[in-house]
Amino acid sequence: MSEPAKIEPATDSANFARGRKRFRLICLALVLGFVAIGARLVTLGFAVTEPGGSGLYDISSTVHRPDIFDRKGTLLATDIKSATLYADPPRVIDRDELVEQVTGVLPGVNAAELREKLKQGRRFVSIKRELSPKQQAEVHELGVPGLGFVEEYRRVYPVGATACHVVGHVDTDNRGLAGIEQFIDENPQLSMASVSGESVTLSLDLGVQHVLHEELAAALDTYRAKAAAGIIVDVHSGEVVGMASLPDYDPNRREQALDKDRLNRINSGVYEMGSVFKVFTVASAIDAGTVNLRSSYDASAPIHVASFTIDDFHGKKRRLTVPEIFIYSSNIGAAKMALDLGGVRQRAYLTKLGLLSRGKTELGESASPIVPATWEKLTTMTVAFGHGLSVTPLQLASAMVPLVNGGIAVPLTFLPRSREDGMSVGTRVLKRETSEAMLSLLRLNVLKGTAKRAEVEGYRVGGKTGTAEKVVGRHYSTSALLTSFLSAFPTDAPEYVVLVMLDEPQRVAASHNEATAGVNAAPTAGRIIKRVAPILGVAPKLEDDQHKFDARLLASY
Amino acid sequence: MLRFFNICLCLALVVLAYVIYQVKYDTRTFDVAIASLSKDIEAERDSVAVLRAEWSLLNRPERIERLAQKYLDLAPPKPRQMLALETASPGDLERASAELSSPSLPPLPAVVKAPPKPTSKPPQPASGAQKAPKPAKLAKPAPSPWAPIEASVP
Repeated sequence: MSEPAKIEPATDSANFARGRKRFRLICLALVLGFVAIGARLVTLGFAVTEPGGSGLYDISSTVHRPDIFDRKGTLLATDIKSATLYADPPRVIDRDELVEQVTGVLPGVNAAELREKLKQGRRFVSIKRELSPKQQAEVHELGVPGLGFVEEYRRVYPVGATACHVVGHVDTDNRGLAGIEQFIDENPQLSMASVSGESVTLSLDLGVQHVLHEELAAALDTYRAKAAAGIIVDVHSGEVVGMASLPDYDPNRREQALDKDRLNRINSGVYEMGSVFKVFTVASAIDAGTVNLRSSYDASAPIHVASFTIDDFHGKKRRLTVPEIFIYSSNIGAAKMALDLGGVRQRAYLTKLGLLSRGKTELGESASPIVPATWEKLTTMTVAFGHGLSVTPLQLASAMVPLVNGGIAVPLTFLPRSREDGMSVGTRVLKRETSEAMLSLLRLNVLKGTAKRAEVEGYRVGGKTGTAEKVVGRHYSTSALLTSFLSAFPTDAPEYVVLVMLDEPQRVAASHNEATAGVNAAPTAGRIIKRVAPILGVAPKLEDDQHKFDARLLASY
Repeated sequence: MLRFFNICLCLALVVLAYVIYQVKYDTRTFDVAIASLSKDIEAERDSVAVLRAEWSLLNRPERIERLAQKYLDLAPPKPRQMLALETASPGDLERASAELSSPSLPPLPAVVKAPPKPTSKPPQPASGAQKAPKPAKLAKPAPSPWAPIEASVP
C-alpha cells in the first residue's frame, strides 16, 4: 500500500481511492464466484453416480413374480425374460416397408392391424410379445428404423397341465389370474427371499399330483367319462397334497383356460354327491347318540313321502343293522336314521362340517353350495343319502377330515403346514369315538361292501362309494350318473383322505358293463392310493403279520 | 520468498488437479465396469432361470416315468417287498435272502425306515421313489436316455 503523495493533486488521490474500492469489489466478486464454483465441484465430486444410469440395460416393464415350488422343492412356475417388439411411429421412415419386413419375419403379426396402429401415431406400438431369441435376432437384422425391443418377464410352467388348477396362470402383463398366482398377488408377504430370488412353496407334492393326474386321465379314458376330479388331503395338517380336475389346460397356453369345460371342478363345481353323504348321516347319528353300531332299522319296504318313493339300489328287503345300512348303501335305512336324528340336528352337524356354507382356501372362495330353502321332513330324508343338497368336492373332502382324524375339523390349505399346527388350528366337531366307529365302517365297506375294488394290499383303505343320478332337464336321469369315492387310508391310523369323482362314466367292458361308483370311482381311487402311498411315506402293513386289524374288525361285525 | 512459495502452490495445484482427474477417470471406468458386470449378473441370473425351468421340464414325473419304462426293468415296490428296519426280525431277513437266492421270486425287498408316527412327517422317499434307478443299469452306457427330449426350452 503506497501512501497518497501530497504533491499530487487532490483529484488524483480521490480517483485513486475510488479505484481501489472498485478493485476490491471486483476481487470480492471473483472470490465469491470461485468459491461457488469450487463448492459445486465438491458437491459433484461427492455425488454418487448411479451404476446403471448409463442406459446399458433395460428395466423390465412387467412385474417380476416369485417362483413357485412344490413341497419337495420342484419348480412349478418361474419367470423367464423375453423381448417384446415395439415400433415408435414418429421415427418410422417408411411405414409400408416396416409392415412388410416385420410380417415377413413374424408371420403371426396382422399386417392391416399393425398399419392402422402405426397411423394413429402414438409413441409406443407393441407389435409382438414373447419373442424367441432367434426371432429377436432376425428382427434386429432387418435394421428397420423405428423398431425397438423391451425386455419383459414371461411366466413359464415347466410341469405344464399337471398342477394347473392349483398353480393357476397369469395374464400377458404377468399378473395372477387364477389359483395360487392370484393369491400371491393379493398376499405379497407370502414370498420368501432366498439366494435365487423370491419364492413361494406349496403343500402340493408333484409326485402325488402327477399320479393323481395320470390315473384320472386314464379313468376318463377307460370309463369314457365327461370329466374326472380328485383331491388328496393330509388329515392332520389339512394340507392338500394333490388336486386335479380333468379336462384341464396347459397354463403355458392360457387361452385354453377360458374354455368352460376346463374349470376346476373341485372348487368351482357343485354336485349332488349321492350316497357318499351317508358317511355324514351315519357320523351325525352316532355322534348325537341316536344310534350305535348295533342299532338296526327296517329296510324291507320303500318309504313313500308325498309323491316320492325312497328305495334301495342294492335292496336287501329285511331289517338292517347300522353297518349293513352303510355297506349296502341303503337309502331307506339312511333316511330313517336321519329322521331319528331330526332335521335340526342334521343341519347343525352339516353346518359344523362346513357343508352348508362356502369354503375358503388360498384358491379363493369355493362355489356356493345349493342348500334347500326350507328344511322339511323330505329334505332331511333325501339329504341323508346325498340328494337335494349340492356341494363342491372340496367341501366334501374337507368334511371327511374330522370323521377320520379323531373329530377335529381342520381348514384345508394349499400352503405347507405341520401336523401339530393343523391339529391346533382345527376345532373339535365330533367325538373321538364317532371317528373310530366311522373308520371301522369305512374299512368294512371296502372289505365286505360296495367298495371292494378299492382294496390295496397293505394300505387298509376305507371308503364310501356314491352314485348319484344327475338332473337332466327336470328329472333325475338313470343314464347320466355322477360317481364318487370318498376314502381314507390307512384306516388303523388315518393319514390321508382321497376323493375321486367321475362325471357321466359309461357302461364299458372295463367296468363290467356297469356305471356305478363301485366299478369305476372305487378302483380308480385304489390305483391312486397304491401309487401315492409309497411317495407319501405311509408304511404298508400286511394282514398276515402281527397286525390283525381287519380280522378284529370283521370279528366285531 | 513469497514468489517461491507461490510457485510451489501453483505446482501443487497442477499436481492435485492431475491426481483428481486421474481418480475421476478411474471411477468412470469402474462405473462402466460395474454397469457391465451387473448386466452380466442379470444375464447369468436369467440364464439360470431358464436352466432351472429346463431342469424342471426334463424332470417332470411324467417324462421320468416314460423313460424308466423304456430303459429300466424296474417295477414299483410291492408292500410285500418293504420292511421297516426297526421292526424287521431275523426271520424276515432269512426269508428275504431265501427269495434272493431263488430266481423265480421278485427282486430284493427295498428296506424303508419306519416312519416315526404322528409327531412329524415321515421321511419321504423322493417323488420317483418307486422307480429308483438301479446303479448297475446306469453304469452300462445304455442308449442315450436323453434322446427323446422335447422342446429344449418352453
